[in-house]
Amino acid sequence: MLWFVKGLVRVLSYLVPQSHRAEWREEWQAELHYRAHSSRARPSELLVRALGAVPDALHLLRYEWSVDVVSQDIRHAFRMLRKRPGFSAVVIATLALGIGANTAMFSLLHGVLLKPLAFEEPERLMRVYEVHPNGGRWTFSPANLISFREKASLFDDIVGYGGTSLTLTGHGDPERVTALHVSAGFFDLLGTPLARGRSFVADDDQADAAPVVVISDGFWNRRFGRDESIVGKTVTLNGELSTIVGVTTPEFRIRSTSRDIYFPWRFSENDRARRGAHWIPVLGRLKADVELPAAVSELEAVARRLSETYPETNDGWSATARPLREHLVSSARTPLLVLFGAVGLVLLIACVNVANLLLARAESRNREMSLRTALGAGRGRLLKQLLTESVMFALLGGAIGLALAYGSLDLLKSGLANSLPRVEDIEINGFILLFTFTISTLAGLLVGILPAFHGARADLMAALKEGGRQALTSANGGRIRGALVVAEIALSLVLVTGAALLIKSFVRLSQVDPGFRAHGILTGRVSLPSFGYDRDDAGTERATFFRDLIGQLQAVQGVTSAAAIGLLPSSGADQSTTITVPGRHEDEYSGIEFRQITPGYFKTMGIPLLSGREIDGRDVPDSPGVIMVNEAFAERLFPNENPVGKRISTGWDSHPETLDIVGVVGNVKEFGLRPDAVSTMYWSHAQLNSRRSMSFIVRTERDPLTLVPAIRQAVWRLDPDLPIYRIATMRQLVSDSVASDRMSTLLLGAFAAVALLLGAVGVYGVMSYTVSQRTQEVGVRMALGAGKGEVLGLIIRQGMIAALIGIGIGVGGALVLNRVLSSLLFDVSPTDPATLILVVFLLAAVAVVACYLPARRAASVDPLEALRYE
Amino acid sequence: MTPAARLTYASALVLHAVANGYRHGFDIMDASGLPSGTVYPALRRLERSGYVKSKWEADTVAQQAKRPRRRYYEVSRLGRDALSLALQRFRLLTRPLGEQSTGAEPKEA
Repeated sequence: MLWFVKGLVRVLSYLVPQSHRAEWREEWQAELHYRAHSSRARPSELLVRALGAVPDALHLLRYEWSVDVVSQDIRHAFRMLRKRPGFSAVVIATLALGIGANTAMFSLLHGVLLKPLAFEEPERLMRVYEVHPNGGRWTFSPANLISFREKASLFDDIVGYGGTSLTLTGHGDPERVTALHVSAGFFDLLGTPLARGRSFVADDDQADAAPVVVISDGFWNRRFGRDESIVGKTVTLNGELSTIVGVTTPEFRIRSTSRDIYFPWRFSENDRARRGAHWIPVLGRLKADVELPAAVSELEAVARRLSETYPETNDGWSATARPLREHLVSSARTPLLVLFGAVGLVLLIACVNVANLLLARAESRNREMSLRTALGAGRGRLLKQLLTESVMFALLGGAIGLALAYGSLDLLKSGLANSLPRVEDIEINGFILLFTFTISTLAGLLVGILPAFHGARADLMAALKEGGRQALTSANGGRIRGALVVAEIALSLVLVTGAALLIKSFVRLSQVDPGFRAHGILTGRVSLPSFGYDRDDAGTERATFFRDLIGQLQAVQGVTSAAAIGLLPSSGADQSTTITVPGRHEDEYSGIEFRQITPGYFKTMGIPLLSGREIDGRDVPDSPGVIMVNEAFAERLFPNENPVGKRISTGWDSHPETLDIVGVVGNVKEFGLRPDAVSTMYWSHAQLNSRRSMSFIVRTERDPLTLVPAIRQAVWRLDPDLPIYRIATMRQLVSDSVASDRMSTLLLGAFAAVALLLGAVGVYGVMSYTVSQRTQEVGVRMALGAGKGEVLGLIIRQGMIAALIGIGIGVGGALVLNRVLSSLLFDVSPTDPATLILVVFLLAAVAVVACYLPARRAASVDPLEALRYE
Repeated sequence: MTPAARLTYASALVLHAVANGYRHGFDIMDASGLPSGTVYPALRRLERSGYVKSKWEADTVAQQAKRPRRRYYEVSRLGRDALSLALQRFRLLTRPLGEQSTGAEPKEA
């Protein structure tokens, strides 16, 4: 039994910290021996007592990790930090940069992609679509919306909404206010309670219901000074008196902007019958316990029944739904994930740099470590000490990085406002803090592991030997550092290649010809209210207004030409319909964009006339209906023939029109610069369906923005109450359409620049250190006759070997990883050889310079000095 | 230094035993009746607080008895103060040692 328990104690002794181990074992074994040889020895009792060694060993082990010891370690770590302030600053700054960038990126990711929407049970909110026969997701028509609302039983409710603007009068100056018309159940569907009053009830959207509105908190503040008795007051909107029944909470918003007024969508009899014109975006809330696939099946079934009941309008149409959050953010997902991966690589590179620095420092602390070992510190204790230091560095760096991210968040948000959805949801909250803390700790452990193991393995004799400094550069350490540099260069290459590809893509995108001359055009939009301009249903008054407006605009000093159109290119909206060609009875052409224009539009925009004539003053309501078409239209409907003189039919429900094609113009990129041009037709605003809202354009030789006051005057000369909105230059609009691409390119470019800098610094640092260790060797070589150039070449060559290996690995990595960029690239392949070769040369050049500088220092050393150097 | 008020009953008992001449770990176990898993951690805590000091037997003593040298503990002045305070708190401690457990004779120091 004694042998057994002695063996047991020996095994348990490995739990005990090394500094106490030998004594602990001795104490226990002596006691057990004594007891075993005493008169009252009983084997079972001996075993029971021996088992007490377990809690004792654990107690001692736990004490290593107790608050006292840990705080000791932390205090020691702080002392070490202060001893070398320059070194500490570099390490902390490097980590702060990496961690801060990651924190910022993660808060973007969280706010846009991960955070649930600010509504009640947002995972049940769906965006519902009608599905066009060609498969595209479309908005709803009013009659279909009504049908679906009645029939879709798996949804709590389905609501439509639409943005618009209204003119507020009767309270001081007339003001144009933003509004949203919504189905009655809108607020209940979203689930957010109102701050005051009530939301709409089912009857509020009947055609004969009393007009009611819900106003926003901002509007209540601005217009009514937060009047406590607001509920029940009235406002005059578009000439109609409406009662205010409720006020929203300050945070409420649908999409990114908060609207002033919400009012129930009262469909006219006419609208209720319209099944073929789709313009209403629709939301739905799934019933509890209903899964999306089941709901989609039901929607499809309802669509099928409708297509049987109303074959002229609904034949071939279906319906579907997807989560609202998907709808809002799916376009941002890939760019954000790519950027998040990239910033992670930057942190990795920063960690490699820091690890190299710590490794170099560990070697110079060999003496300290060996002394501590000699004085009894166990290896585990030393390891713990060194890791505490590196985690401390990382946590300090993380705190600074967090502060940097927090400070720059507002700037980031305003810069990204056009490029990302849900920008208002980006914030630094507890979740982000947790993320920062976690990656700081992980980074600290990552950078500390190698140096700690290296340092704790101190070679006692070598360190205590006088003048043993040279011998301390273990071959192993050098190899590890070399490997780290290779990794760093490889990672940098991947990032820089990705950035270069995006830059090339963005440059190509920016050079795309939009189809018109954007430079020198000012735009704005006016929307005629229904009262005052609706006496004549055919819209004569509207036509007259815009004709007069163009005349006024052209009279402004500096304006060379002016015109108006229903929807500008790059406006973000689309208007399409289905047409037929008389004589081709089977064929229906869907997805034809249509625009209303005034005479002179193409000239003002700089769009070339390719054939036939332009729409002009002779195209009035009494003359034959005419349209102009673009090249894409001609290619699609009349390939290989001149469409001028041909006819098409539009099927606008109750008023089908047959129109003559009188001219062909060049293609215009309507939806940003990426997609190809779409078949488009243009007709005269004066002649057909003169709409209320038009955007005007004026061309000028001067800076367009200088004309803004004169333009306003021109409009107000015709109608002083008419607000003008969305005033911007055409160049601005086109630029906004590529805002998302610009964001990705800029950010990835910034990350790559940082990575390149860190990589260069890393290579330089390692080369410096290696070279300084080899000063003696250099001296010997030169003393033996080697020329300066030879020595230089030797050192650079050896440094470049590591760099070239890194470049090789990096190229492989880039070819694989840059595929994730495919969806972001325009007209550039992810494996574009020209870019890759350019980046390889760039990195090689950087590496050469980073090797050259220390090498030159070494080669200019006096050989005698070097030899004397111990 | 841990204030005397924080002495647990077990620690006080162990300290009491050491003060009364039970200097080696296993003897303390006999005298106090506490198991080894309690006695040793208590000894470590007492040593850390400065109430006891540990020493090793002289090699000659051990050689004579033909066994490995044992570690023994002594109460420090600080420990004596702490013990008297503890005795006031834990009146059960005033029972003679040896009666705490299954009967063991105090050894001569």
